[in-house]
Amino acid sequence: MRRSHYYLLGLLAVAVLLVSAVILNPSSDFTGTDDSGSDVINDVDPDYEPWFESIWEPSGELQTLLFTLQAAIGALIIGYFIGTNRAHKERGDG
Amino acid sequence: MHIMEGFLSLEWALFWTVVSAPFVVYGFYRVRRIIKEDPAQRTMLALSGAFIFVMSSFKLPSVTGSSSHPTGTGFSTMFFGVGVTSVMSLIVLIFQALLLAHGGLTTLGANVFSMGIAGPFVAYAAFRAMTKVRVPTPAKVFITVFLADVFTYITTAVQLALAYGPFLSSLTSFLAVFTITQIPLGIVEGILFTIFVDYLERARPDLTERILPRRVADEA
Repeated sequence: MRRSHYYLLGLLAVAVLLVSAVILNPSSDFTGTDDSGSDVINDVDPDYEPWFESIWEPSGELQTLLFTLQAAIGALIIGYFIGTNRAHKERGDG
Repeated sequence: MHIMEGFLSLEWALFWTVVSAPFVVYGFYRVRRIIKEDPAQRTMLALSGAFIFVMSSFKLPSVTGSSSHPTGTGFSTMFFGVGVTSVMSLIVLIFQALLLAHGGLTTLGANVFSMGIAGPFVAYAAFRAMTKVRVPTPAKVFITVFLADVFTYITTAVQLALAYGPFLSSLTSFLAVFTITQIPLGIVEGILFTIFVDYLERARPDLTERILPRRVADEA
């Protein structure tokens, strides 16, 4: 098997893991574990009152934008790195 | 692994901040030295931070019907160890606490400890041990990344069980929420990094050979 086949197989496994999560839980809304964690705190200790609130909380749409921004910053750096490697290779100066 | 803002008492918030602080201070010192002295490692440092930014922004669905964040800390752990990884995690956690209301300032110390210190510590110890017994690189990368991810969430469960006792029964509840959901996501993260490190070893062996020496078979 060629190297690229192993890569494809790996990516396929990733896709299967993520897609099967959706298929196996058709009616789930995929609550984040952070929120479930806070729910468990309420079960274990119903009297606990958070003593500090987030200074600022973005609305849903804004939150999506900011998460995307976070991913974009990282992806830009990784993409730049892979791109310059390729350019160097094509020019033959390793 | 984000403990929400205000969900740790003042005592625990202070405790985890004090525990995390020395690692972060040492990490800052290491980062400064790397930036000053070693251009090749500077590239790796940028990649380490970039991966933590990307991976921890995702919220991936898991077979348990919950979703959760990967940590992305395995790569940084492998190449730079715990101190540097704690600094990277601190940066991303401040970003998320201030702009996304994910985690918080009062829980920052505890979250840095789980994501940037405890998870990476276990992963780094495993990485060193596997290097000693010559585990092949792909398996080594996969296991290191998986451990950095899953142990972060185990640590969060322990932190919450300590704060909301009785310890043992609470621990079971918190582990149930965090760990099982995280296992498939740790596998996903492990596969992605195994592929990237393999690419990196071929494309830029000059960057990886400090930590992943070229194999004898490749040189022949």
